[in-house]
Amino acid sequence: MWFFRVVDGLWALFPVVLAVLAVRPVSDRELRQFTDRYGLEHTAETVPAVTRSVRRGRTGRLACAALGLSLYPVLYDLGLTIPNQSAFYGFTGYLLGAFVTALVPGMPRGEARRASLVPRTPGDYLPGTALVMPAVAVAVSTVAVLVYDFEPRRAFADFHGTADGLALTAVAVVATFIAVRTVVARPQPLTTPGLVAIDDAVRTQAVHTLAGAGIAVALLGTSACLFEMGGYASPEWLQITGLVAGIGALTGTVAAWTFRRSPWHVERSTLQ
Amino acid sequence: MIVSVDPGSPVPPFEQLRMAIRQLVATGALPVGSRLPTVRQLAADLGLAPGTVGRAFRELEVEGIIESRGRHGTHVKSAPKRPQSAERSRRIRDAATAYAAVVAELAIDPDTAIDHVRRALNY
Repeated sequence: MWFFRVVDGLWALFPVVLAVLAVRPVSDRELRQFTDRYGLEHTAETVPAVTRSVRRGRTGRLACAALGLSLYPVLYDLGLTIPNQSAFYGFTGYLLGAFVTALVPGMPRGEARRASLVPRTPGDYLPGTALVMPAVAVAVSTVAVLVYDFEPRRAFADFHGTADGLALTAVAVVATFIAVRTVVARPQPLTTPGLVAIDDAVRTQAVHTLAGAGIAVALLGTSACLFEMGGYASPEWLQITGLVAGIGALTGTVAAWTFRRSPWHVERSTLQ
Repeated sequence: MIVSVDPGSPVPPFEQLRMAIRQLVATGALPVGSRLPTVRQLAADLGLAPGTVGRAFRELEVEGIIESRGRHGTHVKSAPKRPQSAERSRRIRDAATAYAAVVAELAIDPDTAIDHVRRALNY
């Protein structure tokens, strides 16, 4: 019994630890990582704005993770019972926090009514691969579902799969498209060139987070479609194709998630 | 390629924006073929209503300075035609007279006033 009490006690400490980590000061290492990633210089103007942005993102993610971890015990004390999946709620909270902080504007609105006549497009913030990947994911998922449904020689003729993978991919792609466009269209505080560069860096980080997460989820749906197609197909070559392509899509999921932290310099910043 | 709108000016915001874009095209800062931001983006950046920016774009389109290419966005079509020599002289004289009146009203030193003109002309 004592063992479970210790585990419970440690588990209860998690949200506290996360809350402490969320509000700790931004270190020089974190600052340098951000400025190096987005090609910013360390100046009196950039450091406070970058510090605010890094702290805001971290607080959003970790505070939501702490809330997720506390969800089950808090609701239990209030008399509401939900499945005891605290780790899942914590992870979901972390992702939700990342999503919300990326979507909500973090830069103060400039007082001056000034604007650049250079259009902002998703292509300024994302590589070509990330721009075409959502369409590829939907196309591959659709083909996999169609092949699965119409492949005449499949081993389990009575078994009918679902299009859940395709639905997940489609929803993720639409949500990503809307979220990325929202962030790109956000007003730009055009008071000084330094502030424009910081705004572009913060916007890039937000777009990368949203696109990385969205594409990761979309490819997860694609891999589900491909595994289902390969798993229930009759011809051996189709089984192998489904398996290999499914593993490829899963690898793409991991790559898309890690892509959100890749370096990126907005060319437009230098043109303003 | 920065445009600004002064909310305190007696000139309506759409007219300020129209004149700013017209000037950028006339001086070549905004070359023919350049793509302009969407009405929504420009309105959000300037803190104006989309209708205000839309009106400036429509008037520039009527003048033949910009053209809308549907999904491909709005582009600079051609530079505004330069007026004839006599017309140019008359307009610059009128502008100088109006400026001189403001200088006199504010009791600004003539050298300072000319410095302001030089700065505005980027000299």
